[in-house]
Amino acid sequence: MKQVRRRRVRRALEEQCFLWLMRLSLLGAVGVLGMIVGVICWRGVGALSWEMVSSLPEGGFYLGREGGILNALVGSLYLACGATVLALCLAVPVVFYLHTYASKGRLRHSVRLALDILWGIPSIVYGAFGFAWMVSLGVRASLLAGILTLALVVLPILARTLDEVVEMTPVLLRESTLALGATRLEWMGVLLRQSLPGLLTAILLAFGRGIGDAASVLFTAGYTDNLPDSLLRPVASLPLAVFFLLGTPFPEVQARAYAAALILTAIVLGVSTFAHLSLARLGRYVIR
Amino acid sequence: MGALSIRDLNVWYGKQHALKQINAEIAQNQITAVIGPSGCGKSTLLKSLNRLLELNEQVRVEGQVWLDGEDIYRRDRDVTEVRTRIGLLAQKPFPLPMSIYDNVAYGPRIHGLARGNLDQIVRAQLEAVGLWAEVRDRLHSPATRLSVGQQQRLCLARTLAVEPEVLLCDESTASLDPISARGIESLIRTLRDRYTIVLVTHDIDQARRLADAVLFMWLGELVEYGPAQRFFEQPQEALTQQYLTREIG
Repeated sequence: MKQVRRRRVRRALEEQCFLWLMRLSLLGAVGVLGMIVGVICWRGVGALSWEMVSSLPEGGFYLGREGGILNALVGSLYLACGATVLALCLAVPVVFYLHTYASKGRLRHSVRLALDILWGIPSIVYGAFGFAWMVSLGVRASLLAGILTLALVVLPILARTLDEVVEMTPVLLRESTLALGATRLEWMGVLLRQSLPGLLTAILLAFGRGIGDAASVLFTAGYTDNLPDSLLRPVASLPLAVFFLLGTPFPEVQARAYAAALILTAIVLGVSTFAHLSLARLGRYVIR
Repeated sequence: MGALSIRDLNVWYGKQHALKQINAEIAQNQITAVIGPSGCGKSTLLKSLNRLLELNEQVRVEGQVWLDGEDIYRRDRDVTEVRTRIGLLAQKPFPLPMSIYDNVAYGPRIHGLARGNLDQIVRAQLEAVGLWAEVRDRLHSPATRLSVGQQQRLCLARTLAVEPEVLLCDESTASLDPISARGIESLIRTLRDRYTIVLVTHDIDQARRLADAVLFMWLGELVEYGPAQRFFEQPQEALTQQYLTREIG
């Protein structure tokens, strides 16, 4: 009896111990995020103004004079949206092909491995790769080059996330659809409906990564104080704006860097909130 | 329409010989029950009849299955046409990720059977499976909101909507509660006049209640096949006798 009671106490203690360990980890993870957002807010809110998001940098903006970062804001949205759409156009056919027509598991395995490796490559390497191509083609830094390079950066994220989502599709759903005499292309349509919420998550991850990436657009998209008016002209981006503003010795300009970072974070937060709200609608018919 | 003829059918999963030299004539407008213990090849046989088996990458099929005088395994045969003419009601109900209406309308849509009267087709099929009264007010809500028994009837309506000649039922009542199971059973009985039905079941009593002919399988081989009455009252094979008296299986 005594032994049983002692064992019970020990197991309860064990549980409490691990419970607190998990809570501590949670606190660590959320705490770091909170601290980052906190610092950005604390140092950036002061510099945040309507002028900041609505006007272009005037002469001397980087020395503390008037102006805003509209160029970087619009540029980043162009870059991230363009890259995500482009990567989506590649990732969806690739993943759906692997799951419907490619009968050999070996091909699927190799493509997954390749995508995993691509995911791990630092984005500066993509930047250098894009730059090398541009040089050989004689193209200057431009919105187009930035979008193409950034699309390569987010492609593995999109494709692998979508791949995992499609992998989770119940086998019986495929059987039921094909048993109705559907072609594999028609089955893809059903698969797409079933994967919509996952696809949205994948897009979200890709967009978040794309809009925040500085290294890949550094050489390829360039930077400009103007709004992008052509695919073949350079374009500014928020991460690079943060980088340039932080690099100045003036505290009031550095505050603008934090304000720019705050705007970047707000965009990601806004897109993510919108996605989660639409998830409920998109997921209405999904078979679980 | 809808008579099946299985000739020298062999199936391998990798190196495992799952179906061995099956020969059987399945008469039209009858319920043929396929019985046998778990793993004897019942479901494999059933899925080889609408070529769903070949979705499995390791599978190899040899032999022929004739539907109305044509081999469904003929090289140039369109597999979607085969599956349209030979419908399947699976073990577990699995609605498509769509509304109740779209689930039934899916088949007619992809095969171009609708010709503008899709609403009528959907209604007729839902009525045929006794689901219309229960869902008429919520045709556009997700199919997953239905109970499991209702979902299975929806799946039956979906299968019938593509106008098959043969209906394959793979233990279609196994995952249902007893009342829903009885509902599906009586539906299958009413469908006998219009379809050739092949029904896999592990439930001997269900076979007794429904079948016109019974096919008994054991370890991938066809042991005995004949009219239900003779099969149950005067089984010819010792193995069948033992199975029916539940000495084996």
